Amino acid sequence: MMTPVSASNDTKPQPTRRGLLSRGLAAAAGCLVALPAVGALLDPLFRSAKEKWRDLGPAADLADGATKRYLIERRAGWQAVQEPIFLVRRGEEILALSSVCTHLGCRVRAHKDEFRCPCHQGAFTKEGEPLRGPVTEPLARYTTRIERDRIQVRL
Amino acid sequence: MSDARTAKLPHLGTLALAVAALGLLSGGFLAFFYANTLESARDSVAYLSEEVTGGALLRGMHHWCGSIAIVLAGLHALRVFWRGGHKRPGHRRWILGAAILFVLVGFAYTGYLLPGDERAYTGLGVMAGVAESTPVVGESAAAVLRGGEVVSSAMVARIYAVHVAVLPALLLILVVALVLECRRAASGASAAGTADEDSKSALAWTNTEAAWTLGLTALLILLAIAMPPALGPRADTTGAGSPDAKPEWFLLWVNLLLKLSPGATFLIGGVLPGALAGAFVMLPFLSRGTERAPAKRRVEIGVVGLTAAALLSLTVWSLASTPPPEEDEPATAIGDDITPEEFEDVAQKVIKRFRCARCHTVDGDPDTGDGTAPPLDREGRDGVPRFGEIYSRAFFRLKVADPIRFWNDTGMTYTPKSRKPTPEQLDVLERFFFQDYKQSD
Repeated sequence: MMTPVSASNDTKPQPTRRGLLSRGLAAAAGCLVALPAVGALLDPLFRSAKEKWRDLGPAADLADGATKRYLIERRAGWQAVQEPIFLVRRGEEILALSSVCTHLGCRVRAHKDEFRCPCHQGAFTKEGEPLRGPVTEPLARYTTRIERDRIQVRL
Repeated sequence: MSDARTAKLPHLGTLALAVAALGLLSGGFLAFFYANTLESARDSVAYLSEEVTGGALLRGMHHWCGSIAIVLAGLHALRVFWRGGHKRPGHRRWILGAAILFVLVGFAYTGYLLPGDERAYTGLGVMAGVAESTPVVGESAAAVLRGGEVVSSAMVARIYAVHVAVLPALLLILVVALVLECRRAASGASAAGTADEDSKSALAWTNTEAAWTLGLTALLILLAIAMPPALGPRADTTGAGSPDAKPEWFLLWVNLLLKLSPGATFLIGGVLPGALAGAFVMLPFLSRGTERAPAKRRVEIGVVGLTAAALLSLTVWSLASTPPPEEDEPATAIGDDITPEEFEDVAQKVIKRFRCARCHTVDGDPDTGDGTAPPLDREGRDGVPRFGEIYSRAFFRLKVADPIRFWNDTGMTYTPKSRKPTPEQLDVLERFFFQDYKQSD
């Protein structure tokens, strides 16, 4: 019943020198195409985003105690993608928070006095600290400064 | 097992591959209409399903091919496992078949990430988010997956290439290998006089399978008409996450576990599915007994059965625990006795419902608008014209009902909601911006 099925004894032709050569050449041709292909696929690893100060408008636009959404430009491939960040003002201190949920990367939204993530119902405090749900890490913070009465953020 | 009974049952593996072939066929035609960028994908899919003759049917059938092929392949796997067909000499066929099942899941997973609506955009973000949770190489893995530092058209292009080139090539190679292996097994078994149920029926294509395939095609058409795939609002990289961010049904169990286990994203989203998939493919080597009768394989069947039951329960639980939608359809039937304040409340709800205030500043409210669209103002603050004075009432209604139609005139090329307001909701907006409600006596 349990006879192994390798019954039909394969009589494969022994690899000749010519056969080996032609296979090697084909493999080399394949590698020559694959090399730049792998390079192109891994390209995002070879470029690093340069941090810079970005202007976000007059400081007067952000009232004390307010939370406001700002758009910043991120490079991705051939595109510039507008991504929201949140600024929270506490007197002279301005907190810049990423809008990317630290759980799985969905976009949070400001809701009353907290940030909520729609994907798995995680929530953060107004300062970006974990509040509810599956989040364990606070929202990423960026460095901010006020230069000549204008808000600037570094990322 | 009586031959008379089994002969009428179709070969489920063949049917799964037949549906996969229908998926390739319909998908090939979809590619004629698909624009693989984050900006255009949704519009191209909407054009296909709303305007192209037969487009909705084509897209619906392609959508359902994914789920039905997975279900058929899964049932086939259970049936083979029940009969012990995964054991030698069928172990090679089991491995190839299991690999094909995962390629089918890959098709459905990448397919759901392509329509360019909010749900697909969220799915792309979560895919990169799970990849990012990998220890040490997470950042790099996410960057390679995204093709950049954030989700953009570069990621859509990559997922699209996997969906239409990498996976079809893999499927082709695996199916050819499986067919060759089945033939080899069948001829070997008949030569040795040991033809069993599985090697005899391996990938049978008889009148039974042909009839079932035709029936399944009819089912695909029925599903495409009765339950067409949804298409949400266009992905908005500047917006907040979409509340209808549920993944496809076969990812619900892992999605639920991810929600329940904070801080264990890599373990739950990476290690667990990988380990389950690995165990499934390597099943012939994990249980080495040669016994085939189900009654004598209680442990093996128990473990597989419990795992399948656990995945199924998690899926059902996830379906049942859908959070209630955050926004209700605002009441728009307005009685005569409504006060101006109550009316303003209803109007604000309609404005919120269609997310006008995502881009437009409404009535100078600093919490509304993001500077990308002109203000909508009832009063005419800060030199802003009153919205009610810009257009005639008739044109106001036309424009608000379908802003993109007049993009030439208004420059507006995007609405966050794909749904259009009802005539009642249009009444509310017209009365609000023309301030009729204040003069009513």
